[in-house]
Amino acid sequence: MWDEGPLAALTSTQISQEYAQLAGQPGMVAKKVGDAGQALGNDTGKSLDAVYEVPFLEHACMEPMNATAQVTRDGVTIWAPTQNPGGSQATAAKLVGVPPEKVVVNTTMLGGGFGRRGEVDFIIDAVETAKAVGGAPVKVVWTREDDIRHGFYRPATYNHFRARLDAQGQPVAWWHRIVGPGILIQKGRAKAGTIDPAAVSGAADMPYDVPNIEVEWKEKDFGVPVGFWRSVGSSQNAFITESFVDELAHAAGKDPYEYRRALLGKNKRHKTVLETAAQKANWGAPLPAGQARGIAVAFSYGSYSAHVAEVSLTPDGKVRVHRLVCAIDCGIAVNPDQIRAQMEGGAVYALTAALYGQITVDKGRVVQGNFNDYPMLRIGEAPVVETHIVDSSEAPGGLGEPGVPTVAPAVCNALFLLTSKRIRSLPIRAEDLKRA
Amino acid sequence: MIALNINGRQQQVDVEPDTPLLWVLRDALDLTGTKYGCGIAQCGACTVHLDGQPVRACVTPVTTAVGKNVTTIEGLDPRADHPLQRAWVAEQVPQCGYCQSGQIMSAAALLARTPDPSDAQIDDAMGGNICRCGTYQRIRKAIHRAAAMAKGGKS
Amino acid sequence: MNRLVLSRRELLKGGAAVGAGLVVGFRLELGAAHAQSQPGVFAPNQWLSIDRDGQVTIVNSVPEMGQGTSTSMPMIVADELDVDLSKVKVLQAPADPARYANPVTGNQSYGGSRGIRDHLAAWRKAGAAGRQMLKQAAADEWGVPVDEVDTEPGAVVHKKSGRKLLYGQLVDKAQTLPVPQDPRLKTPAEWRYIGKEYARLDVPAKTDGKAIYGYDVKVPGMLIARAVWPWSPPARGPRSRAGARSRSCGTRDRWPR
Repeated sequence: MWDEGPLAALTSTQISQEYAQLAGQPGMVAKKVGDAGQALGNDTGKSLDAVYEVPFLEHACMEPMNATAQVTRDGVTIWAPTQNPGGSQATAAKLVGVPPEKVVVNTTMLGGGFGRRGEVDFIIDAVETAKAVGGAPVKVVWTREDDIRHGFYRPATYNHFRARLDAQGQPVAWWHRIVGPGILIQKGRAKAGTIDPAAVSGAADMPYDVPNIEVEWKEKDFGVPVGFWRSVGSSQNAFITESFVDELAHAAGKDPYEYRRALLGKNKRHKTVLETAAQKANWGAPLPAGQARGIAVAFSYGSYSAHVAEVSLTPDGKVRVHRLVCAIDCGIAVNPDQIRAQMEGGAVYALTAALYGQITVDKGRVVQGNFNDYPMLRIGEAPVVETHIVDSSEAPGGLGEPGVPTVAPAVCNALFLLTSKRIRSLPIRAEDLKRA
Repeated sequence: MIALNINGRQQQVDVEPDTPLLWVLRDALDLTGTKYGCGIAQCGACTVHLDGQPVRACVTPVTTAVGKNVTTIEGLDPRADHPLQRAWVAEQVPQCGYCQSGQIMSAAALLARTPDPSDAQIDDAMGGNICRCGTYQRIRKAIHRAAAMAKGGKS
Repeated sequence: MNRLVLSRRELLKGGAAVGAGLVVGFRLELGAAHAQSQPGVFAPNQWLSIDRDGQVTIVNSVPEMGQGTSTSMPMIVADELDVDLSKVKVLQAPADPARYANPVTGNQSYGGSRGIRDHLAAWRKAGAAGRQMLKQAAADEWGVPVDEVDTEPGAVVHKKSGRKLLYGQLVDKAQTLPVPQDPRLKTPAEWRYIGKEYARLDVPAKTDGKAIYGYDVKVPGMLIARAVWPWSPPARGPRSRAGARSRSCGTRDRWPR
């Protein structure tokens, strides 16, 4: 029998409700320019107020977690698909009580990583089991259900936005309060009571010129294990920020591309990828009936990316993404074909989350367990991804992650044009797209 | 003992009759190219052929394979030179690669019955194979390329 | 499987050398690996070595999770070293933070899209240092100024006299030279691999079932076990071990379903 622990009654509904309550309380200020509070009270132009929510997500590497270990008098040998050989070594050394030099880590091929394999929980399994059997090597394997139910999830967050435009439609105030857990704080790698950088990345560094900005973070950790999921904070914050700026553009009656472009004045590299994606996608040119384009831009992990999504709805209301035109500025491009591969993969990863991704908690347990209830995008749903690499001699940026953040907002921004419905909660639900 | 024909070789395995073929291949016969991904025929990582038909080995009891020719990724081509394998290299399909044995086995079964498939036929035949790295557009290209190669076109 | 198993002695030496040759912003410990490598092997740093047969070995510290590091990393080193990438042996580094820590984060954990982003400078420098030493060794051998010699893949050449020495022939001499801390890097115009399309080295093994993932590991005498969990992750209570069971004692419920 298991001790169900203090969270045995926890549900996703409760999480969402408590987040909403906490959003009424001030958080820690992650970014402050001017005085957003005062500017929100202006009586010129329009004001906007919106709530965005994103769910927990699991990495779902194709290869479920596993590791092999052998503990002998000489030390420990580990064979593992790990993103973290150093942490695996240190962890095993501690568990067995030997110096790290006595732990040999053989890193095998990884059947996907996405941040999940930077954790060492599956290493601990193998080392502890190997310790218990005394000498024989032991491979500890996880089932898919183990993998999905015992993950380190992309945090679910709740976001309250307020903005004020001037009479010409230019934003004069941008106010964003995030409620959610801090990954680094939960792992003891950032101090409790401080702002967790992973929680606000992609939000506090919002790139647009607005004279009054305030981004706050209100920490709330229910104890659900959280971790680094491909593009981490930017995976949700780019969706939220790039959807809300789209709301501003539409409220101002301006073209969403031109509106962004005008607000990116001093952020040259943002502007270049935005322009490249728009031009390559023939922004503004007619599309087949029933299709619309959406656009989004972001910085993450040292690189700048922008996506234009071409989207339609099937007669039964399913979202169909036909093409994603991606512009990426990753500084020096070392292996261009692999840059394209990462953009293609990032797009499918992001689209899977946007269309299907949701881990829910009921009675303290993760509800989903396998690909039947935690579905993945399949080949027939995969868009054509067309990647344009910006010629650059800047220092190299990342590639594994930057292909993810701007996909969901580009798709949802296109859906707004198609349906006049603003998607403010992921995954996208057919009922949220039905015409009023 | 259960007698099996695996990749053209007769093999005897000492396993319970309800053991899934996947674990017989991987654990008893050391054919680890066939992968475990879900255990419930949802992801296709374990796809092998039984008399040329694609099956999910994770839900196929070993006894189902008795008297049939079992083909795994290791036996698809004696020199790993199947048009699909060449096309997979030419299009640089794999990223992590974990699902690719299953993808190639599903594609091989498709090409065997439909030598020049349309995109819709590819989507239909490959819909049971998940790739978490998102290599789908390269998979589609590679299948078209392999089909062209088999016809004696580009290589 | 591409796997480097350094001898324990070597591992300990690597550990003992921490800080000895540390250069600010360039955690290469230039000279440490060099001074300790075996006779007949030129190893100016932890990322590369060349033996008398000219076999080049490049050690990548970033795990291959599909992002292509097992190709991009050797592309970078091979380019600056000036060797034919198709003839290079690529190994996966062991856990050994003293040698292989990410120069930016200081640890051997890889996430945050930090492969090329955090290592390009160090890997280029590693290759360039090797190339410069090989050039010096050849120049000394021929008694000509080092700026008169150049390289072509795997060899140093002296165009004036038409002479040429393969890297493998220069191993012993190069090994006696000091490691340059600030070697001249190639200009982008001189790059042979960086910025070009290069087929992934790991792809063939990922099309014929030969690539070895963690799930595929087989060690003689190995047992297979499954952890049995409380279903609730928030509870994450004490995990009970199913205990290790040998391969032959199977019942259906031991197969992952």
